[in-house]
Amino acid sequence: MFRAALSRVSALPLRRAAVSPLPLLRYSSSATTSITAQILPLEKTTVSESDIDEWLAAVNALKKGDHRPETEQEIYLAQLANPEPFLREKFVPTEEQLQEVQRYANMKVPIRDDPVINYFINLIMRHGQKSKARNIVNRAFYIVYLRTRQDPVKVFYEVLERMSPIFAVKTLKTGFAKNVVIPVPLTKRQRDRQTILWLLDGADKKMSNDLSVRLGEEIISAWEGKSSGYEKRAQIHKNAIAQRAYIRL
Amino acid sequence: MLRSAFSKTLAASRFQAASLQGTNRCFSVSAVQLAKPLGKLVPAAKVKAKVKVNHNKKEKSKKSGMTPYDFKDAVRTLKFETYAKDLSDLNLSELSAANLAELKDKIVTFESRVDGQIELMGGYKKYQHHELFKQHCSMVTDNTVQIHESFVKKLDGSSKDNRACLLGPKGVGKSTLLSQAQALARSQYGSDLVLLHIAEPELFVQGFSDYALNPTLKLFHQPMFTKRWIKKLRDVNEDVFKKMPLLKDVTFTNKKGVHNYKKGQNNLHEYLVNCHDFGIVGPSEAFKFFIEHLQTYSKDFPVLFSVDNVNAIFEKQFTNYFHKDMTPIHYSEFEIGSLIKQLMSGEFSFAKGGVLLSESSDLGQSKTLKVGLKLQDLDPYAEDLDHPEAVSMMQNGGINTIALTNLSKPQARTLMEFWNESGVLQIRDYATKPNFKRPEDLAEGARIMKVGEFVNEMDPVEMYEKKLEKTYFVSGGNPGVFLKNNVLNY
Repeated sequence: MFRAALSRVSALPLRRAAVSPLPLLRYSSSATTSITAQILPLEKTTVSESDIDEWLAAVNALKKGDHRPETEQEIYLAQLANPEPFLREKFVPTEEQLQEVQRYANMKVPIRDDPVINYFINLIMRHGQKSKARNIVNRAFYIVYLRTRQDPVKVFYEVLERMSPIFAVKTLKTGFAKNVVIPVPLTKRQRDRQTILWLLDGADKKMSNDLSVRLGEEIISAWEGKSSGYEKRAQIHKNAIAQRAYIRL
Repeated sequence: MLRSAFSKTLAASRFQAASLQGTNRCFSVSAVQLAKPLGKLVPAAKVKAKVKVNHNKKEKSKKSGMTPYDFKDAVRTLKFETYAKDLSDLNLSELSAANLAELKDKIVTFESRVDGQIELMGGYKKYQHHELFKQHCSMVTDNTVQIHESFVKKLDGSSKDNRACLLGPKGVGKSTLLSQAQALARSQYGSDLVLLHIAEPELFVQGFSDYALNPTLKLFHQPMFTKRWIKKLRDVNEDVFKKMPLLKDVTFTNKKGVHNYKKGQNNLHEYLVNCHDFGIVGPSEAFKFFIEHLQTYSKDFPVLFSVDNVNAIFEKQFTNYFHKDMTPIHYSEFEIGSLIKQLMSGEFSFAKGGVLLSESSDLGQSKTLKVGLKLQDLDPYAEDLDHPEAVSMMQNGGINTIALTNLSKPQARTLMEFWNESGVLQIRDYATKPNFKRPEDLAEGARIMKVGEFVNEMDPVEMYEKKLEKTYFVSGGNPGVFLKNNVLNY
């Protein structure tokens, strides 16, 4: 359908291109010219009955189809109905826009929150009170910063990298007398989760009544290599290595 | 075989013996319950164990950790400022009244002696984040200039005509401005200035302190509160008190014995060190004696009397203390409360000096204070209002109000630059979505990022600008919120 219309339009004589581009029509209440004269942009201040007749005749002539526009009104109306200028219109970016595109060419789409920190907050969150959980993490990181004088997010990432286990062991029920213990590799998210849970376990053993203080202290001790999580990690790895014969590739 | 036969005979003999003993017991006069069970064969009533042992109970583990305190106290008490970067290479100027115009919109420190004095008086409060920096620093803003012009310069006049109250929302810097005003006054008058500061008036209103009627002054005396306050003042104003000889003879007793101080020979500092009457329960004129001296000497040594969190006093109509007949006590019936009231109303004044008050946004709004400061019309029918108190505040020309303004954008930029230079600001890149492309699909030289990998900053200058824009917009220039958004938000 669209293609047919396009071919029909392209078949129109080139004479139409000579007509000046259409001015933008906008109704103006303060203008002295009448509304009809504004709609009929044929440089007329007043519109007579004969103008209307010519206009209607042009509309009727064009309605029949297969009619080549000849009069001034017909050409104008044909242009209104002609989608060609819009199809031909191409967006030409300015220099500034091109520079902006260059600037953002290799940039990645930002997301609102750091996914790992967000996961940490979610694991602390109870009863959907996220702002409370976020406050706890913010305060814990503030204490981490005060003690280490380094970017606490960086410190936390470092702790996750150093303390997270690579494997977990799972018991597979074979259906026979003997169950098999299989070492399973963990994804980044699973590793992070396990470490965060160990950090929270360790934090519970601190004496402050404020979780943010306990958590801050635990992250600091983990960063210094003193957390009990390292022993747990070593135990899991030892167990997994002992069962390495059952690894399924 | 032999073994089984032996066991059978043994069992039979036991049975016989048991039955015989059982019959004997029937004739016994002692209670059956008290009888000793005879081996396994005697059917004895089960005796319930009186002490229940909970085997599931875990042993108490020894708690470790740096501090037992909660967050706000932990960050204050753990001396984290010792780990902070040394600020000596930033060449920060000291706050002084002489070159205040040059110091405008700059970060300043306090002179070390004044800094210690402000700290001792409790001028540095919780949540002011002083633990971030090695030294206590603040910014000279329009508010500082305003308080210098409208208050500190007027300390040469009577305190009756120099009364002001700092007003503003939470985090705007009221307590900091109070400390700045004290430091400016100290720089202007040197040691010839008496600083009287009450950091937490809620301590003498909320009912935690001991109290007793002092029959001499007919006011309630709070020994613990007063003695601690006097001890602080004594240390802060040591130099000036030593310049104040006693105006009359005085005799008092302490643990060392009776002291007779002579007029003109001993000074006020000696009196405050040795007279322990501020901390006793009983008749004493020590407080009155001290205030009288300050008033007399205020011709030569101006007195800056300041009260932070002043709305704590007017939060309720009465304090949490009670008379003998269980009617509540008004704050003006206390020694210190009476002094505050008289100074606020101008009824009592120093020849040279000023009264500087500051409200706290953490406490509730006080209608009495609002009416007293002429911010609200006096409604004679209002119930939650201390009418006489509000009226007394309006006497002698009333108390001026100083509404604090927020930071401008250039000031915020200066402040952020300081944080950046002192290592407090963390500029990091935004988080991005993890890249799941295979290595062969990536463009040559493109870095493969792991899922959840920490991203180092790519353009720190741009991120810095973004952070400034964002945090300034969020805070609206409120210094407290601006700081919180930058250092307590990850």
